[in-house]
Amino acid sequence: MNCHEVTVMKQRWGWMALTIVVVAASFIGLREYSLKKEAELRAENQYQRAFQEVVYHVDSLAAELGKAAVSSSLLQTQKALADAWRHTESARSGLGQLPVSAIELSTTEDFLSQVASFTYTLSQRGTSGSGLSDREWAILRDLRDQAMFAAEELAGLGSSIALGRLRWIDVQRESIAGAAMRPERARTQGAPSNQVTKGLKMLEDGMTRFPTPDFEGVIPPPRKKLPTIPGPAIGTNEAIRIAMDFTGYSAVEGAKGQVIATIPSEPEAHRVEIIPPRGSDRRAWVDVSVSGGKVLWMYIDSPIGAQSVTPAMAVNVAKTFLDDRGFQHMREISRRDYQGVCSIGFAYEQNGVIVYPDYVVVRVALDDGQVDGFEGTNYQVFHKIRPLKEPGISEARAKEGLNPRLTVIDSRLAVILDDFYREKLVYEFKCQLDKKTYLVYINAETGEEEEVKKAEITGLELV
Amino acid sequence: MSHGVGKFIFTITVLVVVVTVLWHVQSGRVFGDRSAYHRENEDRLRYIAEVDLADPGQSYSYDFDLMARVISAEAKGEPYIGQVAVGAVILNRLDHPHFPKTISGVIFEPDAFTAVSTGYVWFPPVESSYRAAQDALAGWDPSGGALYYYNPSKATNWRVATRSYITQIGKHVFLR
Repeated sequence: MNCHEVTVMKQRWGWMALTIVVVAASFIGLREYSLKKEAELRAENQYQRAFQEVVYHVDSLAAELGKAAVSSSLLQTQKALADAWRHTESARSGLGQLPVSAIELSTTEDFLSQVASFTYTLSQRGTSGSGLSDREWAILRDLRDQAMFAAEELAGLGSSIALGRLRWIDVQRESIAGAAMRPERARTQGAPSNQVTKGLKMLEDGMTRFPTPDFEGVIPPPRKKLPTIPGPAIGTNEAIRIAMDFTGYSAVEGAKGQVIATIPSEPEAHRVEIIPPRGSDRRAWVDVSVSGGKVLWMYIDSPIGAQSVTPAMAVNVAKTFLDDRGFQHMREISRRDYQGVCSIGFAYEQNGVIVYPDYVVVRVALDDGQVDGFEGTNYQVFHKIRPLKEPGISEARAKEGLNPRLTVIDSRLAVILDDFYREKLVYEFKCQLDKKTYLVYINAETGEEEEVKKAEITGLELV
Repeated sequence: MSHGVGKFIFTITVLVVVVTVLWHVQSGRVFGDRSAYHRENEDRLRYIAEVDLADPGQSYSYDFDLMARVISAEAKGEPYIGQVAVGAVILNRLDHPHFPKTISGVIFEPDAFTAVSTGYVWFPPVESSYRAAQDALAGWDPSGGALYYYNPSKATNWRVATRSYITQIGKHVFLR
């Protein structure tokens, strides 16, 4: 073999290796590409299905609202309303599966939420209740018209998606592209759009043209804004002092507190961070309300070690903690232990009546038995001494309202909130059925059953 | 001449063998079905079993586990209140008419959480995220009633541009 032949051999092997690599790479590439196409198609089909369900359920919703408005029998009206409610919830669920997070649909979503609340409330009134009032009937017709409009728009969008072969995947892609935009740029350029996005925008614009019916007193209000706590506004230094006292850090040499933010939460709060002296890692955060200077919640962050305290002991620790901070007459109502801590719920007790709206939660670390968390927003906002009336019916009368198959273990008077955030005086019966414990609430005025709760729900125990 | 033809046939044979082997390795037929997804899933199942054994008194709840996963994937390494705040955002969405009505609905809403879009939500969660999820359920809300949060040092959804600022905890900005 001479030198020339060796070079030729080397070249030949080089070419061969290169060919192998290129062919293998293209096979892998092709395979990846077809897998990706397949996955995309699957996702697209899921989206198409979700959208078709929205179209179907909104259409059925409009039809059921129409039936409810026409029917003369209360039972038929309630059946139609119950069906309308089911269709509304299904439409909402379908909407939640579409990649529309970047598209403004708040009026449409508000509408569905209102219809759900309206149809549910009216369909649950019971056959003993009265028929629809004139005002409710007027609202029903308004909602029907709005639902019909939405159904038409959605059907139109559906056919243009089918005709134009438009894809939800592209909507999602644009929303991801939008997500990559910086807020500053997004503010000037606005959201990206394609045909589907435009169709949804048309729907939303049309929905905003309908006046919102006056639901006051007809359906539960959406979530009530918490009232402010009475009292003068406090400054940051005052907030730090309150936080240091509450956590017990005012007695610790070298602990430093500072207000790290003032937060427009409900109610507005100064957030105090407390850095302990060197050698301790128990950093603390406390939210102190600006108005009235009440502690809304606090955390003391510490690594949690092996358990050495029982939940029963933790309850006593929590009780002492509350007593020391001026929370008098608190009764344990719930307990939840998890990952080395125990959170205990307490409600205010006024002359033997448990006032559920005034509750706090105290968290105790089960390694050293120290309180490391407190949540009391509800108590701080709502707590007052209530003028409690005597119950209208006796406990024995109320007991007659219970399902006779239950075994009653315990009973007491309590104040609960209903769906409309109204306080109600009730008898609370702790009952058992087939070894499961339930809490049944019977109205202490009317004797009607208000609510049934299961006493143990995945780790939470109501006591 | 015949020598050249032999080389050519040899080359083609080698090519075909190499491609076939590669193809089969790719589709998991040679080394068993151990694609990344399946491995991850096995880890996940093992982890769930461990959690259940460690805490036999507590029934396993899918929603709650999911919440802890999102907290872990989105906010591990953040201060503890930042982790609870992410859990609180999930629960605040649950109460809000513009979001789905179930925890899994809120979490799996398309493009709602980066951790879900990227799949990080299926990695074993850190322990503190379970505590944070429980605390959020018990009522703590360090987010101040937030419905959104984002990391300003990373790219973000344009929609947060129109939201009002509440506070910043660690790397996350919380908005309403």
